Amino acid sequence: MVLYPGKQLRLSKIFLSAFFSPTGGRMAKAIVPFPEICTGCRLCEMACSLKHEDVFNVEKSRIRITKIGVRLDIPIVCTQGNACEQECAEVCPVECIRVVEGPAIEVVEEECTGCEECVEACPFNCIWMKEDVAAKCDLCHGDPVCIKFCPQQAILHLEGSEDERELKWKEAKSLAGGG
Amino acid sequence: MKGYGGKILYVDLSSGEVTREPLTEKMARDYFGGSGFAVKLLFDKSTPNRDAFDPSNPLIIAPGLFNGYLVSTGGKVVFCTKSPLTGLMGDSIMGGGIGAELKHAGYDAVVITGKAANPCYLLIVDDRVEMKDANNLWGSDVSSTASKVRSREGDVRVACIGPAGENLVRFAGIDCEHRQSGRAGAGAVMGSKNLKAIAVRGSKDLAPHDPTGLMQLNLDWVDKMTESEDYEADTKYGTGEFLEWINSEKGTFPTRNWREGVFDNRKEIDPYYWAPKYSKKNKACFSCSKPCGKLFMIESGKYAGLAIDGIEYETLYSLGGACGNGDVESVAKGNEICDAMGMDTISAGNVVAFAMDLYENGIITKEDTDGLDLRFGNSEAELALLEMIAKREGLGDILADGVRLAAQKIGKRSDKYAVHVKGMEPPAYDVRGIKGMALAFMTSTRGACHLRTCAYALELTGKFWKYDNVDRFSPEGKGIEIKDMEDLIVVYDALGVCKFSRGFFFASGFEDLMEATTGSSYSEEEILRVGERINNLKQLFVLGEGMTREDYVLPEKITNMPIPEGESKGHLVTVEQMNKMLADYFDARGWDEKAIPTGDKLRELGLDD
Repeated sequence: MVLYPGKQLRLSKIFLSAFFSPTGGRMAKAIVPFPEICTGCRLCEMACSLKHEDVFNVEKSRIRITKIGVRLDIPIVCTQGNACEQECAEVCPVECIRVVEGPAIEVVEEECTGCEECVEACPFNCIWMKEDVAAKCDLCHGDPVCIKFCPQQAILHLEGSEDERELKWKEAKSLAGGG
Repeated sequence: MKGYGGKILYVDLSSGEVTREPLTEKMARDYFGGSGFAVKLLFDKSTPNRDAFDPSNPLIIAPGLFNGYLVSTGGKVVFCTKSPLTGLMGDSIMGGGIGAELKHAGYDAVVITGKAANPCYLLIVDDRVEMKDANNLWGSDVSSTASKVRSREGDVRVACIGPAGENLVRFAGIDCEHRQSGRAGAGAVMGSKNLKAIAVRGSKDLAPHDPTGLMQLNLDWVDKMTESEDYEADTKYGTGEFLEWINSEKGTFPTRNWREGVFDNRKEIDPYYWAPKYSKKNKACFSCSKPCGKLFMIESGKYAGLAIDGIEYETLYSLGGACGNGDVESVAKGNEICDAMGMDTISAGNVVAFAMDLYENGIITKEDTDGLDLRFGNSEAELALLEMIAKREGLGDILADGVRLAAQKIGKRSDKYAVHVKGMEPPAYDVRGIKGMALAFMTSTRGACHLRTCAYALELTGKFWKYDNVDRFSPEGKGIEIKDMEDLIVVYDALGVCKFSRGFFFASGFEDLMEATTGSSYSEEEILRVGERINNLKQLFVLGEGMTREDYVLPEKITNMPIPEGESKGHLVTVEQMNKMLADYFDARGWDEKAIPTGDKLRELGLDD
């Protein structure tokens, strides 16, 4: 039975295959979403906006859950170049999307002009306008807070070899219960 | 005010008038939010002794205080109205995302009165509030209603009713993101107002008093929760995890319309059997790190393609054990029918079980049932009858009013088989073997209810919170116990915290969270005092609606027929025990013998004005 139909299936497949491809993706660190496991609770959204903005507002969160019907809960978050070509950074006319503290490329808000070209360019819609500047996942500079609130580990902060990633994924799947 | 949206929204569907009032600090301090606000607003704004379907009956939606503030399991929102099923307090709580969305739109409560001339839905986008035409949504089931509204309005959270609500089934519920406010019939009140759905989108910041502190506290709570001993079993098998225990070790799983306390044919409805087979993943309410919901899918056979969020413990009882149905796939199908049509599974299963009991005892025959062979365990007949109830066809039309009214209509001493308290059909706890719960069924302002005390866990395990060595078969000491539990649990409803996490927070756990969120500090004593205030106000409301001491009574099956076998064999609640427990309870509450709060008690709680 098809659990994830149409566009959503394609999206999550591209996401996952990029992370679990023979080449193991391009960057070592990223947040990997597992729609098969996501319960749709949205604690990650709230944690993200509190950490970055000191307020709760999903429109200021860098990770978002799309809910479709009873079956689908899809975490949408930046692939950090694993499943894309970092189109956001490439199209930015003022080059304000770049590595600062690392490990992720991030938006330097003071320099952002709010042209929205990056929003248009992102193939996975993982960069949003936060009022008049762009916002994307910066991996909390190495210790993502969303991960800590994910009770089922449907989003994982993966690093290391492909074997290690696969092991983590299997652990997460067993936590999800059921078949 | 930190922690709050700041406004209360009033919508009159008759005139289309929309008004807003600021939330006062006194109200926030005295009632916290959620159920507290809803009960206060219902008490203030309703006209006593009007029919529940009268346009003046307010339908109130109030998000709990912690909605949207990252508190794990803190995503609960209350729908509150005068119940068409009981004529009393109709408050029902769900975990849909609409609560937080309302807060982001700036509202701590929405009060809907009047009746729209034509089917409509209410759209609330921040300060914009509109009534929109819903003519072509009328008749749609719950899922397609929500998706149609979302396709028109974009990324909104939708709470809506199904055909059962439109048809004024007295136990019709409201659905938001496959979470339901099922009990007490708020969906029928929505239907009576020609209101098909409420769609909300909010974009305002919610700024807590202490962001760093709140983050740390919430991380601690999530860790505490996920590391607790019950976590794995509760999330793997859901709310029905203890079914086998409550059935075989306690003998308190009401079966075949409360004939028995043990279900012999339970193998398949036990989550330890069905979760590995049918559950595809865990599902959570908004803001919850303890996902007890299951995405239940059937891949082949006659129900192939079925996908529901369930099956909850209460539904395993009502559509399973109560109807003598041990076939889990058909229970899931019944669950799907109730969800799609927008009916409370507990009441729906109970009325079917009631009809089956009448059928087996010859009070109704095939002539009355449109040919359905309503023997216990006939799952096909059960499913057909559920559809008939939602559509109010044939016998379903009578049953759609609940067992109390149905028994009055059918006559022939059928009331002997009608299991209800104050008109509310019971949940899955055979209180003949859980005396404290028997009292809780009677004292609840919405009738037979497990969620106004959650005392079943305390009674069955013997300990919880400050109680230890509680004897479930003894009527001693239950008055103060039930009063304490009611005052604690209603705080969960006001703060919007799920009772499935009640083993963690208690009242003391809320102190720091409330301070980090609102900036105001509350002691444990003050928190419980707010709980007591809300419960007394609920009591004033139901007394105003005509409830009397005579309504504190258990059905005949509980007072006259002992449980025939199992671990609770021979137990029942005698009239004498009933009256003793009630007297103790009224005394613990500071109420007189007619269940009326004394002047001293009201003054103490600041309710004397």
